[in-house]
Amino acid sequence: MPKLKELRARYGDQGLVLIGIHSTKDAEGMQAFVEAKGIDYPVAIDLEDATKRAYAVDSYPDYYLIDRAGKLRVADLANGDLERAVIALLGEPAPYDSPVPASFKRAAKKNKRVLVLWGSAQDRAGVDGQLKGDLRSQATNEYEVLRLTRANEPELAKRWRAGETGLAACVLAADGTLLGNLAADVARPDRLRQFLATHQIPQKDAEALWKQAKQQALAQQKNLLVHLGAPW
Amino acid sequence: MMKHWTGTLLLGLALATCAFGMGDDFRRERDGSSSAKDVLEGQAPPALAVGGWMNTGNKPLDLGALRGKVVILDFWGVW
Repeated sequence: MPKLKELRARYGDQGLVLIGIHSTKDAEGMQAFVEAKGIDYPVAIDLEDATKRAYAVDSYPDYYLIDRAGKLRVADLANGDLERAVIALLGEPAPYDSPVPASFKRAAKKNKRVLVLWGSAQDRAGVDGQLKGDLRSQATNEYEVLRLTRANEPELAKRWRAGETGLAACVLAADGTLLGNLAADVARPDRLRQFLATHQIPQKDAEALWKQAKQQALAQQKNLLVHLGAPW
Repeated sequence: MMKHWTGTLLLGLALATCAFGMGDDFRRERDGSSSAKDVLEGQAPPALAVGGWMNTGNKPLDLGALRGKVVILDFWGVW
């Protein structure tokens, strides 16, 4: 127990999490023990030895390690190797969970197109700097905005013609159809503004709609219900 | 209690020092047949069949929600 708290103090901010699983036997004693020892990480009681069996635990204490990708990497690690194993697993990168599918789902739902900004975080800091004020509103109101790196999404970078390096942008319909690309000009606000305007979903002409609706209402002797809304 | 030398020898054998599993060299505790533990490695961890969570604000903890973290499961208590 003390060893674990030391590890947590040392590596907690790098992503180390502790979970204690108490035996079914003597479970009544757990709460008092936890409080007495000042154990503040999550602990729970094994139900009818089910977890012990599932993990093939054969003595107490036994340590099992799960890596950042969610895999059980070490079953019953020798106590002496605990810190070394923790350091090694913390050194592995967290898995990349693509934001792309969720973005397209939202775009379809909200009747928007998808705007992808390609580049490293550094490149994009430049673009995000340009996306100020009304240009930012234009982008976020009319599009689902995705920030992607070519390293994380090599397939899409190729398919959507993002080029090899530097800033790039592309617009896609919610169904995945590529509608337009912008390369180096992404960094120029006037070009970006033009690009965004060119490719956003065409708004129905309010004047024409209003005129048409009035004529229809008159012809059918009906009243007109006007619904004014904002896109957000 | 390990009173005889045979007990000490058996304890030594129980702490195997062979390295395996995804090319790492961390030692595991194994005695005799260890296939039950070995097959677990590299897989998704078995679901936790537990109750009475403490230090979680009365909410059950879900291993799936800890993706991106390194987790130590500490099995402890009375045998």
